[in-house]
Amino acid sequence: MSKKIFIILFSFLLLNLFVFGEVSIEGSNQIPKQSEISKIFTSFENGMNTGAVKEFSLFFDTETYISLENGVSSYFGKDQSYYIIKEFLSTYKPIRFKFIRINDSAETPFAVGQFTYSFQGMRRTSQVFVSLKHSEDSWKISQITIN
Amino acid sequence: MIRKIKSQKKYLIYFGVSIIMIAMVGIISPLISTSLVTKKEKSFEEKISLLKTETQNVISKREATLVEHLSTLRNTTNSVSLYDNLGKEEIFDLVNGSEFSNIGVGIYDSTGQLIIWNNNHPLSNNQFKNFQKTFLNEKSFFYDSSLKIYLSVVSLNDDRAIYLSIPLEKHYQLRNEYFEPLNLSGQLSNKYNVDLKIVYQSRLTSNVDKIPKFSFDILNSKGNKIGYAYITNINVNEGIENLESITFLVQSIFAFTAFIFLGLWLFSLIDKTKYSFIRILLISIYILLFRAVLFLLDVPGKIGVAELNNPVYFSSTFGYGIVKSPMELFLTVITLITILFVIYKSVAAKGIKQIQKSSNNILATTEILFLSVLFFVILRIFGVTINSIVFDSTILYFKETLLFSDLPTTFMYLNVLLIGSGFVLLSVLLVLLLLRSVVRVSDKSPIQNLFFLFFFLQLFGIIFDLIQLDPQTNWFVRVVFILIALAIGYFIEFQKSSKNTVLLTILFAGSFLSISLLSYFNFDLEKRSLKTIATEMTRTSIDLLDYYADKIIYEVAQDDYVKQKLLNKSNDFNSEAFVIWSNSALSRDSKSSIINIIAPDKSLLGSFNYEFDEPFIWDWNDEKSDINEVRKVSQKIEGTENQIIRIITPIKHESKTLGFVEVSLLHDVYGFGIDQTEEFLSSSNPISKISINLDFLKIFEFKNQKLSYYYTDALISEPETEKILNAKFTENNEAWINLLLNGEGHTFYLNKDIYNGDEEIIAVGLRDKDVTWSLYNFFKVFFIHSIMILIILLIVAAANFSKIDELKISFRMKILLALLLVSVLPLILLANYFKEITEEKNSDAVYYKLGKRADNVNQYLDNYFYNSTLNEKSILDKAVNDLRIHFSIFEGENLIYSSEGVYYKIGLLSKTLNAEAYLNLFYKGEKEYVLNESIENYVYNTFFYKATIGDKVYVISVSDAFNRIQLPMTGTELNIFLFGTYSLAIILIILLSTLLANQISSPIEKLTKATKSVGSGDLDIQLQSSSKGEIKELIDGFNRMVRELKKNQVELAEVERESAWKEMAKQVAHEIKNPLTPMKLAVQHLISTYKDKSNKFDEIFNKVTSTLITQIENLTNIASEFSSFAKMPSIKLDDLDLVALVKETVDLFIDEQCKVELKADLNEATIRSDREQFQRMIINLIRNSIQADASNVVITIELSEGDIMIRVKDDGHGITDEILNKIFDENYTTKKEGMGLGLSLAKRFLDITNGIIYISETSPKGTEIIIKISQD
Repeated sequence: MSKKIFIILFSFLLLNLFVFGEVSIEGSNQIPKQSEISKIFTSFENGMNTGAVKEFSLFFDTETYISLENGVSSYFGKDQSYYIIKEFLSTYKPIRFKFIRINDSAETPFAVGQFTYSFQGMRRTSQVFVSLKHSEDSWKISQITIN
Repeated sequence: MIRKIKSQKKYLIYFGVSIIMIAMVGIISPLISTSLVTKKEKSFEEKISLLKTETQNVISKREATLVEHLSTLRNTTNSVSLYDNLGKEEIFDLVNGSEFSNIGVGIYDSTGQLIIWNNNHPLSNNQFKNFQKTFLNEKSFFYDSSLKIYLSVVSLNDDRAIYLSIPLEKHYQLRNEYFEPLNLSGQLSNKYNVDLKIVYQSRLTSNVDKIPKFSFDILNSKGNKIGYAYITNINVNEGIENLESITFLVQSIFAFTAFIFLGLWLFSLIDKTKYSFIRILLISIYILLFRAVLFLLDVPGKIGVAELNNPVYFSSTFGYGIVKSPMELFLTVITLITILFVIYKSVAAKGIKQIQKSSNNILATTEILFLSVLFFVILRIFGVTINSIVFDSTILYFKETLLFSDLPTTFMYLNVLLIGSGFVLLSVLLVLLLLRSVVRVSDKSPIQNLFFLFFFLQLFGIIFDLIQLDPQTNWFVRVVFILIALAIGYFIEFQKSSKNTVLLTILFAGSFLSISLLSYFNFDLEKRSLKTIATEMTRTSIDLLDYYADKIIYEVAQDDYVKQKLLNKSNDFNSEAFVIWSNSALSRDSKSSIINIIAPDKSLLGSFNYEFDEPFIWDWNDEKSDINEVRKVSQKIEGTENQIIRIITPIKHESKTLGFVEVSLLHDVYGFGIDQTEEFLSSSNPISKISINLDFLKIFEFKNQKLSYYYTDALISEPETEKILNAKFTENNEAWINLLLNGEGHTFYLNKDIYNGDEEIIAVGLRDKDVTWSLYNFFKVFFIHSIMILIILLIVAAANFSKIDELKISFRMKILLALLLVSVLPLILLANYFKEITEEKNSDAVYYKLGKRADNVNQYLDNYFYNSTLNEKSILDKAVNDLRIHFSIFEGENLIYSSEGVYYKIGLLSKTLNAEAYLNLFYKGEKEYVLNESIENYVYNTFFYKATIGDKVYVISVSDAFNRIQLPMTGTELNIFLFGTYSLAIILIILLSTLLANQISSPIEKLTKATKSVGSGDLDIQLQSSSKGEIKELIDGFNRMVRELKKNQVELAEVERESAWKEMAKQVAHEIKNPLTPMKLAVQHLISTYKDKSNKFDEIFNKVTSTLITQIENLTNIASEFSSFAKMPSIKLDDLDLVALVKETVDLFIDEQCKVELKADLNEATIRSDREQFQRMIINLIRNSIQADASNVVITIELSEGDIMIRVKDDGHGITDEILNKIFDENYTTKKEGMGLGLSLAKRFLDITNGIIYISETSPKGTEIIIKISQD
C-alpha cells in the first residue's frame, strides 16, 4: 500500500513537471494597451543589452522568423525562439545594443539597430532588423534578423 | 560492522575533500588571472610570431607541392612535341589523372594558345595572354581569379609555358549544402583566435592603404615578397578566458566527484533501509539530482557534440530548460526511464498472487479510478511530448528521403524511440498496479480480470477524449496504447516472460506508438506549413528591403574589396558583383536583386542579377550634381504593385571617384519565397525547410473580393470562391476551410489583411491526399528504430555477460540467424540489384534525353546558321527559345555561346571546354561524350556532342543542371519504393522467423533443461506442450521415460532395501553366530562342571562369565556398527562454489511457470560440502515451493556474521501450524507420492556438513526457509 502511495506521488511529481514545469516565458498576459509597440522595442533593446531574452520573449509570435549571424535562418515556434536567441547571445556576448531607427507607425512596425558583441573574445558589430505583427489582439515580434 | 561504518564515513570524507577542492580552485584562479594580465602583451607578440610561422609554412608547403609537380610534368613533357597528337593525348591523360586531382594545370604553346589543361585550371586563353608578362618565371606567386585566390607557379620556355596552381581562398560563398568553403585566412583566424587578413599580391596589385602595424610578409621560396598578412582584431583576454574555462571545468569535475561520493554514501545507507518505497524514493531523488547537476554544470554543452546541443534542432521550455537541446532531451529521458525502471522492478518483483481480496472495496475502486485517470493523463502527456518533438524542432522527420541524413536527425529518432519506450514502460507499470487493484475487488480469474480491464479502459479512454478540449492523440493510438500496455502486463504477470522479451516488446511498442504519433502530428505540421507560406509571402516588406539596401551599401563602403578591384582595374567585374551579392544578406535571404559596378563615366563595368532581369540604365541623371554620397530611390513598377528600391554609393580613394556600386532590389508582392534559381546557387530559405512538397501547393489571392493572383493550374469554381470570401475569420484574421477543387478535397489556410481600405485574402492550400504520410515514412523511421533496438539489445547483452565463457549462441538464436540469413540476404541483394538496375536505367534515360536535346540543337543550328539573316547570337538565342533547351557551344576549347551565360560571366563555370570531353572528342575520335561535372559539390550530367555546322566543328553541351529531365523513377521515388515495400517484407520475415525459430527451439530447449533436472535427481518433472507431431511424441516419450524412471527408482529402492535387509540379516546372523558359539561352549562347560561338582567350579565360573561378558560386548559392538552403517549414504566432501551451484540449480527451473530467481550479494562463496546432495536439497526446496503453488521463489545468498545464509522465499500457500513441527521428521509427508524424506534428509545432511535449516517465517502469503552454513 505504501509503495502504491509512493508511485502515485511520483506520478504526480512527473505530471507536475510535464504540465507546470515550463519556463514562464509567457509571463503576464497583461500587455499594456498604450505604447505597446515602443514598449516591445524598449524591451527588446534592454534584453539585447543584457542578454536577458526573457525581457522580450513574451512578445514572440507563434511563428517567428529568425535569421542570425551564426547561419540560423528559419521560422521558429515561441518556445524554440527563446532558446535560439538565448544560445546565440551566449556565444555572441552582448556589449551594446541600440536601435538607430524605429518606425512604429507603419503597417508592420519595425526597428533597425546596431548590435555590438564579443565573439571569441573579439569585438564585432552587426545590424539588427526587428519587425512586428498584429496577432491575437496584440503586437508580436514576427521577425528578427541579426547579420 | 565497524568496518562498514568506517567505509561509509570514508565517502563522506571524500565528499568533503572535493568540496574543499572546489573552493581552493576558486581561490587560486584569480591569482593566476592577475599574473596573466601582466603577461598579456608578451603573449600577443608570441601569437603574431606563431601566426607568421604557420602562414609561411602553409604557403611554403603548397609551393613545394607545386614545384614537385612542375618538375614531374616538365620531365615527362619536355621530349613531347605539343603538336604531336599521340604525345598530347598522353599528357592530357596524365594531367587529368589522380596525381593532379587538386592541382590546376595549363600548358600553353609559344603563342599563348592553351594546348593541354585539366578542369582545375583557372585561366582561359585570353587571361593567360594578358597576364603572361606579369608572371614570375619559376617562382611562386598569387593569382586572383576574382572568385578565388590561387598559389601558382609557371615555367616559361621557348616553346611552351606550364602553369600550375592550387586554390587557397574563395572570395564568394554560397549558402547551401553544396558549397565547400575554402578560406586560409579564416582557418588561421579561428586557430589563433584573431581576425587575420591576408593580402595576396599579384604583380598588378597595388595597395589601397598603408601596411598596418601588426603585419608580416609572406615570401616565396626565392625570398620574394608575394603578399602580407595583418591582424585586424585579437582576443586580448584569451588567456583569462581559457583560465576561466579551465577553472570551471576543474570545479565541475570536483563537483561531479563530490556528487558521486555523496551518492556512494547515500547508497550505503539505502542498503540498510527496510522499506522498499523509501529506497526507491531515495534512489529516484538521487538520480534526479544527478540530472540536475549535469544540467547546472552544462556538461552536455561542454563535452557533447556541438550539433546535438544546438537548440535549432530541438528545444522546449519544459522542465526549466532540461530539454533545451537534443542532448539535454536525451539525458532527461534516460533519467526518467531509469527511475521508472527502478519502480517497475520493485512492482513487478511482487507477484499478483500475493494480493489478497480486500475488505475495503471502496478504497480499491477509488484506486482503480484514480489509476485509470492517471493512465490517460500519461497518454495525453505522451501526445504532448511527441507534439513538442514535431513542433519545437526544425527537423522534418518525414521529408528527408535518406535513411541516415544527419547526426541531429538520427539522434532525435533515438530520442523519439526512448520517449515512446518510456511511456510504454510507464503504462505497463500502471497496468500492473491496476491489475492488483482489480484483484482486490474481484473474484474472477486473471484472464477475466484482464478482459474487464481492457473494456473498462477502452470505455474510459473514449470518455476521457470526449471531455478533453484538445485531445493529444487519435483513437487509433489510444486503442493500441491500451492494448499494448495490457498485453505486456499480462505477459509479465501471468506468463513470466523473460526480461529480454519484455525489454524487446517495450522497445518495439514504444517505436510503433511514437512513430504513429509522429505521423499524426506531422499531418498538423504540414497543415501549419500552409500558414508558414502565407506568413512568408507577407514577410518581405518594403521596409525589410530598404534595410537590406542600406546594409549592403554600408558594407560595400566599409570593405576595401571593391575599392581594391576598381583601383587595380580588375577585368572581371561581373565576378566582383557576384562576390558582393554572395557575401550579402541578399544572398542569405534569396532576394531578387541586381548588383551593378559602374565606372566613373557611368558605363557598366560588371553586374550580377538574381531573379531580377533588367537592363542597365544610368538612372541618376536627375541629380544636379555628381553623386558624392549614398542615394536611394523607390520606384513603382507600372501595371503591378511591385516596387524597386535602388541605392547607389560612390567608391572613392583619396577623394577620387573610382566608380559606383548600385544595388536594385525588387519587392515582388506575389513572390512567396520559392527559389527558381538553379540548386547550386540558391540559398536554403525558410520555404525549403517546410515539410510539404511545394509542387503540390495551391495559392489564390483575392483583392477586394476579386481573384487577383493564383499559383496553381487548378481552377476554382464560383461556389468555392464564395466559401473563401465568406469564411469565418478569427480575430487574428485567420481561417481554415475545406474546398473541393477539380473534385478533390483540399485544406486551405486563409489570411485576411486590410490596409488603406483594401481587403486582401491569401488562400494557401494542399490536396488532402498530398500530405506526406505514407507507408514509406512509417517504415523508414521504424527501420531506423529497429537498428537502434538491436544496438540497445547488444549493449544490454554485453552488460549482462560479465564472463566471456558465458557468451554462447543459443539453439534458438542459431535457427533464427539461419532463417534470417537465408531469407533477408536474398531480399537485400534483390533490393540492391533493383536499385542498381533502376539507377543504370535512369542514367541511360538521362544520357538519351540529353543526347536527343543536343541532336535537336544541332539540327536547328544546321538549318538556321547559314540560311538566316539573323546574326549568330540571335540565332542561338532563338534556338534556346524555340527549342526550350539550355545549351552551350564551344569552338575548339573556347566557349562561344551559352544560354547560361551568367554562370560563365561570373566565373562559376569555366569558359574552357571540359578537358576530358575535349580529349575524347578530339583525340579519341568520339562523336559524343557524357560525363559528370560539378559546381562546388553539386554534381550533374553533361552531354557533349561534336557537331559540324557548315564548315566548322563545334561542341554542343547540354546538361541536366539547366534542363529538367523527367525520369521514370527518381532516386527519391526509388528509395520510397524500396523502403516501403522491402522494409515491410523484412520486418514480416523477422517476425515470422522469430516465431518459427521459437516454435522449433522451444520444445528442444525445454527438453534440454528437463534432462538436466533429471540428471540432477529431479524425477518429479513433467513437461507440458501444445506441440503436435514428432515434437509432441518426443515430449510424451520424455515424460513417460521420467515416470518410468521414477517408478523403477522406487522399485529398485524397494528391491535394494529388501536385498540389503537380507544381506544384513545374513551378516547379522553370521556376526552374531561367532560370539554365540564360544558363549554356548562356555555355558555347556559351566553346566558340565556344575554337574560334576568340580572343585574348579569357581574358577571355571569366573572364566565362563568373563567369556560371556566379552562376547556380549562383541555383540553390542556389532549392533552399533550395523546401526552406524544404516545411518546415511556416504558423503563426499569437496570445496564448492555455492553461488555457481545454486545458479546452476535455479537455471533448471527457467521453463517452469514459477519464476525462480537468485539474488546473491556475493560473487563467490566457497563451502565444504557434498555437491550432489547439496544440489538435491536445493531442488527439493524449490520443488516444495512449486508444489505449494508459489509463482515466485527468490533464493538469496548473503554473508551474515561470518556465516553463509541461504534464504529460500516463496509466495506459496505456506505451512499450516499443525504440520509445522513435523516437517523435519522422517517419513512425514503431505504429498500423496512422497516418501517424507526431503526435509528430514536435508536436516540430516546439514547436521553432518556443519549447517542448520529452519523455517524463518510462514504464512498464507509464503514461506521463508533459511539454511545457515558455518564457515568455521
